[in-house]
Amino acid sequence: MAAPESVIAVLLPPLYNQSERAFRLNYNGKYPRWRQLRNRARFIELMVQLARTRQDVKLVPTNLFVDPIEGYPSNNALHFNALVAKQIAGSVFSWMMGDLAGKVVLQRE
Amino acid sequence: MKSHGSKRLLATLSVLAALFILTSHITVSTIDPLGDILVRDRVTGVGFKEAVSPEVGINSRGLRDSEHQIEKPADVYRIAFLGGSYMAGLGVLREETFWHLMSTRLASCPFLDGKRIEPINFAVPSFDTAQELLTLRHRVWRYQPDLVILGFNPDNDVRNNSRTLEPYKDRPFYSLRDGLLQLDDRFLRETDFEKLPGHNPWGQLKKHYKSPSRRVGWDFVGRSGISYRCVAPAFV
Repeated sequence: MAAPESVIAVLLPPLYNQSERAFRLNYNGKYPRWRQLRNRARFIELMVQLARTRQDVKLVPTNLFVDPIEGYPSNNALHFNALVAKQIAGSVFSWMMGDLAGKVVLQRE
Repeated sequence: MKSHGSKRLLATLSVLAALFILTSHITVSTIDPLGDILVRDRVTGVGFKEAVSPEVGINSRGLRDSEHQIEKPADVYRIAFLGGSYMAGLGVLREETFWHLMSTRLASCPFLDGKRIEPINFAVPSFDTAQELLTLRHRVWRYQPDLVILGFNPDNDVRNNSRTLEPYKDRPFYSLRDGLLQLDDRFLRETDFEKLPGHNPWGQLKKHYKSPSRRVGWDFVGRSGISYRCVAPAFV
């Protein structure tokens, strides 16, 4: 049933809310922002290492170009608002234009 | 003296009415994980209730998306989105989700050679990678996507993927044995498929008032916008 021609890509996690207060509200102080950022950074490092060795792993750089101040509600650490949604849309669009477009053109040739 | 009291009462009632209207609006326009939109699913553990709440935008196949035919037309470039809450667009309108926005931008993309972009969102709040893999195998491939985009959030996805770390066992898990993925679907035998855990109204109310983020009522008019956490099930 699988579609063998499908390209599979992973969105790298965007930067979380800048507000420490949002993390305190969401997690009762159990998971501070620095710990979430550390885990996120480790995950991105591992994914980048993996992508260097495997051609079939595609990474979309949605970890960049995100506004962690205006892009989140004041009381939510992880779930962004419409501004960050727009910024992520821009990143995915750019990745498709830059990375995927080349692949499709090569296939066609 | 009496008129001062009446004015104060009137002002209080006006504020309460405004709160009610505002929270009711948020409830119908964004995904509320405590709302009655999630159901038990025998493949993934949990999924959207089909064709419920048109304001949130869940289609007849239980996807937070518009209707899509399964057969892929020849002039279409399909993109399937898999993930948890942030891929599903928790807290934003469907028209504001990034997969909706990017598809409109890609409509003018030259490399697609005139093909129409069709994003299909398979993300469900609380999904982990095991549930996403099952969704891919059981649902996504049927739509023959050209591109599958997976959202991974290390905040909870690592924990959700481990039977040891995850406190809620009512979901599938995968483990790696001899280099192969082994499905652990014990939840199919152990889960009550009639209801979601804590789905009774009193449980929701208790959870609502216990949560520190819900106690601060003014947060929903914060400068950065609205949040699903502001939704007050007690009001609706």
